[in-house]
Amino acid sequence: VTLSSLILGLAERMIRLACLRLPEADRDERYREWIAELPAILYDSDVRPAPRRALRALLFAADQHRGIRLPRATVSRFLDIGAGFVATFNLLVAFGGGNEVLLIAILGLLSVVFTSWQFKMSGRWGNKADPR
Amino acid sequence: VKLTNALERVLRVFLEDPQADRYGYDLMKAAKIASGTLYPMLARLQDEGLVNSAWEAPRPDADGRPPRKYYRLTGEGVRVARLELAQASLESSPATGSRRATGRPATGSAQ
Repeated sequence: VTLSSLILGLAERMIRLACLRLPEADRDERYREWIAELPAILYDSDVRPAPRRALRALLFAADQHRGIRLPRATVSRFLDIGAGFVATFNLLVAFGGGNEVLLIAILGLLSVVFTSWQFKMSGRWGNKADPR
Repeated sequence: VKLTNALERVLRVFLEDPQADRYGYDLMKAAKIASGTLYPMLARLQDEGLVNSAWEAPRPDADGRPPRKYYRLTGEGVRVARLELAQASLESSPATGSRRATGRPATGSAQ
């Protein structure tokens, strides 16, 4: 295993994760496009020394996460769920009757459901649209 | 098209040779912007019909390298880019006033 192949693998993985946040229709094309740029960056003779090229490749891959915005519908669903959380929390505090254990249990359950939903939305679980 | 510093640099690179096909890393290097800024910008320019993209045809001398996606300004893109850059130059010239506010460098988009 060479350093280049290691960097290439790591950058590919980062790009794959970034692509999972894209709408399903765009994933494959974006993945192929960004992956195709990696060799150009890693073997760019204008950039020396080699560790600088490796760093560039990793930054290229990492920065794709910044460039990806969630679709508006997804954002509004996140906001709806966030508002739901706040409302539920307020209700529990107001009418919980000092039963902190019940309060924590319910919030814990809601957190698990919310985290699962986030994972599902990001495509990490059972999503066949993995661009590989 | 809202002309940010980053977009201005990308348009200048495209206009150096409007007939040339440019790939992402090439544009990043020439315009000195990050990938997270460039690709959303290209997508938006494409949505607005100012940029075309096409996949590189498979080449026998590619040595296993995957085909790249190339970008080029459309006719309308060339016209709009020239207009916007000319306007930006006018606004930044000492005779017509100070440079416009464009936000933080290298983080703008083509919104």
